[in-house]
Amino acid sequence: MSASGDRLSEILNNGLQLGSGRKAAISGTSEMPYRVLVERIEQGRTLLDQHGIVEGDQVVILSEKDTEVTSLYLTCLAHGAVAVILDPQASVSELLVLISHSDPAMIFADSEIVERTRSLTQTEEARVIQVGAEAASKRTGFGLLLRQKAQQAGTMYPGILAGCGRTDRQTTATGSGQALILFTSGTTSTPKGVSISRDALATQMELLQRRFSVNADSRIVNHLPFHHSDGLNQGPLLSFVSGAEVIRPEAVNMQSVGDMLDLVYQRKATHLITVPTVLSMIDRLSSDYDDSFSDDAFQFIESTAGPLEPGLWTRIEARFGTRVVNCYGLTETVCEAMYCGPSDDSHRIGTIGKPDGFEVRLVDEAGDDVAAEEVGELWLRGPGMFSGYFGNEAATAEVFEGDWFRTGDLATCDADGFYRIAGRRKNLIIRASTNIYPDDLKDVALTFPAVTDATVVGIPDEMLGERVEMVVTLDHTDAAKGRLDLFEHLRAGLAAEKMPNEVTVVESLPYGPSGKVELAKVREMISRQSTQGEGSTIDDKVIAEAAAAFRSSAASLSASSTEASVEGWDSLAFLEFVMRLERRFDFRMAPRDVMRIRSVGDAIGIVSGHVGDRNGPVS
Amino acid sequence: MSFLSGFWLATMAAVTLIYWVLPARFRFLFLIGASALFLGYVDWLSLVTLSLMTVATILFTRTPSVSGIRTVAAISVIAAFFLGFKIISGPLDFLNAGDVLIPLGIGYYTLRCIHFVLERYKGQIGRFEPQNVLSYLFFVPTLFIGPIHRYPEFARDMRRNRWDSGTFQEGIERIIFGYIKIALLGNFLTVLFQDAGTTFFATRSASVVVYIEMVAIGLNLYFQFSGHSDIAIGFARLLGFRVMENFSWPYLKQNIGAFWRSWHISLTSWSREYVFAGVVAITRSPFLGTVSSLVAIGFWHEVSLRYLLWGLYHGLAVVVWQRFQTVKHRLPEIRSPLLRRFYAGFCVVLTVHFVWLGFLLVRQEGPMQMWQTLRTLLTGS
Repeated sequence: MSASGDRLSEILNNGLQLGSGRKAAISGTSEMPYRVLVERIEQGRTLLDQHGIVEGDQVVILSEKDTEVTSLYLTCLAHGAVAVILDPQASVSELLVLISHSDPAMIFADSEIVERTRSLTQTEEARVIQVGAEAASKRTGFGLLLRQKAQQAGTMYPGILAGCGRTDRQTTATGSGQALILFTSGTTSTPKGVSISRDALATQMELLQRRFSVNADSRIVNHLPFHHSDGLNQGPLLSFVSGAEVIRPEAVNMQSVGDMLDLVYQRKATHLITVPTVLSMIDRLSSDYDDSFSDDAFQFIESTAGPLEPGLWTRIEARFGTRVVNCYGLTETVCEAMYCGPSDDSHRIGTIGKPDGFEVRLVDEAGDDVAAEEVGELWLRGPGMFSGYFGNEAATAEVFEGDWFRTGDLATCDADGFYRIAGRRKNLIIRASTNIYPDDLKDVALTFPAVTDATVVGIPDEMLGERVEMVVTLDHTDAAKGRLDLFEHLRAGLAAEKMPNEVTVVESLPYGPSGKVELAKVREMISRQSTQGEGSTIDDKVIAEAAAAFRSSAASLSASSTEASVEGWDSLAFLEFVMRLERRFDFRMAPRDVMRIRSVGDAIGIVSGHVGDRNGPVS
Repeated sequence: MSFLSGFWLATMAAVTLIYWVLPARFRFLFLIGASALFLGYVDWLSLVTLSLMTVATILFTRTPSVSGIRTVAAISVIAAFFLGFKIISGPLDFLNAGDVLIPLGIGYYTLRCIHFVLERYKGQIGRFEPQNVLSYLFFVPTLFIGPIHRYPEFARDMRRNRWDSGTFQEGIERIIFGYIKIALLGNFLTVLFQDAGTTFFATRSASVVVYIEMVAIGLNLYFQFSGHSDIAIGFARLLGFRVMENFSWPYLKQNIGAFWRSWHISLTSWSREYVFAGVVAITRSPFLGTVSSLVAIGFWHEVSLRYLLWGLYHGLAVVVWQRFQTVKHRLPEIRSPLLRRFYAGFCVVLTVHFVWLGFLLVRQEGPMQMWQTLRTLLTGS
């Protein structure tokens, strides 16, 4: 059977043929072989047909389950529907705004989310299918020995597919030209849904396959969330169209980042797609992990979605003996637009490399091209560019100058053609590679009755890239209570990944002559407050005691410092450390706690727990 | 259990081959089965003991968090097995049971069980799969002679387990190295040295004969023990596991503290983590902690007066060395590089002789024989 669909259909059909039956299409947190994935896509298309979903209809996918999001996304693409992937951790109010703005014809949502957002099920226009496991029917006696009928249809996805025949045909979809909508901002005001065409998606997949040498032998570890393009498109989609395997680790944090490297090692991964914050965590791991990328099959680490600090970059490459490919891209460019590597001629530490698949201009405020080495706003143009913000023509018009997309990032270009990010013109904070628009947070803060004014700024941070600091004024003097109540309010209105690191209450915000808040002065206010409070946190005090006990400088110690990393940490010095903590915090550590301490962080945890128990301030 | 046998070699080869031929999901189950089968064949008593200890370990630590009472109860049960066998098979043997009754490898798996219980108590090991604990405790390469590897590292190796030709090659090299140590350096050269020396000096100097015996005991102990550890570590690598090292050039250390950080590392670090840290956590006394941990190491070998004395001998030496560190800076500094090298060499010789003397003395039946041996060594009488 020959395919006559568009380019995306062609590469999807290619993937259907490349992935052999028993091979895993996705593994890690949950596994699904190609055989099952292909079956789900074919049955899923029938399901969409049954519900009257036609090419160009929006289908919302809202799930924490990797295998389900993967199969639903690929089903939508094969069917020609427009997939709208939302953050399953978004707050109820955010979800309602985003779903309403997406105008979906159908919604697939985790049953827990449907439960949490009851009003989802009351959406009349859209049909809602819950995602999750069917409640198991009770079986007793001989029933235990009998296998459940494989084709018994359920009401939830994917169980519901059992009742659907397979649409046994190659995809010939052309859709409305659109394939995917991903939201980059939006809480209470008009959201920005990046609308990506099928052609742009196909262009970027072909480019990534070529650039990263992804093929049927590839095993890609990608831990990024699916509501971000780097997680979704450089994860299951790139793998599927290449006949490769995408490996999904558990959520990555300082405690679990080692497990992810173990997965890279055990599965003989070929690529790791990650972000600078996670590289910073990897940098802090012990030498036990040095062999993580040692397998001959491993090609490189891709660092994306945020600036990569040159020192960290150099250390990772030297320590693990592998290349780190730093990429620059935005949701608006679907995936990447600039690549620093993997080839030698495009690799220069400290830069974002050279463009591939896009044309680049650096432009001054007057719209003219800047001279070499001068700073200008980065403009991009290419077939991989997004189509516009869904249902938001004003926002679309704001970022396009003809067919050039104004990124809002400032950059320079050297004589060899390497680009370097020099700053940011747009109002955006990038924390742990998550884009956070200050206005989103400000909007929610201002809906809190006691808040009279608010602003949000990014403060440089070694691990996170930037910290999100909110500064507010309140209409009463009980700042401490107001701050706590505001945190609760923010938690209810914002996705977890958007929550500020700190909220500071001030008397008034500094406004300039133009009537805008002067952000530089706000940063100074925050800096002054943090300097006044230096050494006042439990972490600082425990580290100071560790420094005294182990005869080292506080600057060289951190929560991750252990016997292996601190030269003066022997059994006697350790005992001194414990006794110093007991004196300083006026308590006697239980033997269980003393034996538990293997790092300074353990001691911080124990002291914090104790101080918390006492419910009193720390002197 | 000696690794110097065709049966052991055949076991290693068969287990390794079947392990890698099997699909990944069956490998750990196979290892548990193979270990149990092998253990049952070699020493059924050991299989029964280890099985009971394993059941006790898992049952006492199944709760989400392990209380102090459960910990004490679990360790009491495990220690009762161990001490019971140690007492009836040692000098305090009232049943005159001798070596017949001591289960093979009990000292090693006792410490592994206690380690698991204490780490669960401390919260360093979270909820666990019983099958993983079975894999850990029934890990055939380390069953009989250690190293006393730790559960978190083992569980991590289970997660990382994969075929790797480099690791496999390291395993083969390590096994060959171990056999060279045991057979060539230990059983042949050291014995040759002792026989020749003893024959030559038999009629000339009783003191030198005892000295030669002391050196031979020290060398042979190291070659035998580190050779067996090499084979265990090598076998583990054949199966894709990296088990902790047990020796790190212990006879080249310049002080007794450094010696104890490089000799039977898996045991000494166990004692430091659980005995030293436990005693210090309760008493805040490093002196008691140090002496207790060395005495515990002594009793782990044998519950007897001579091992009590041996533990005290080393414990007090480490304490003296630690105290010396606090006043060392008051001594004049050696500036000449040549003198510094000489001093370092002197420290190595002093340390190794102190250790060898300990090994010689603990071989004697009691304090009187110890005193007699020491007198012969020093005076020739």
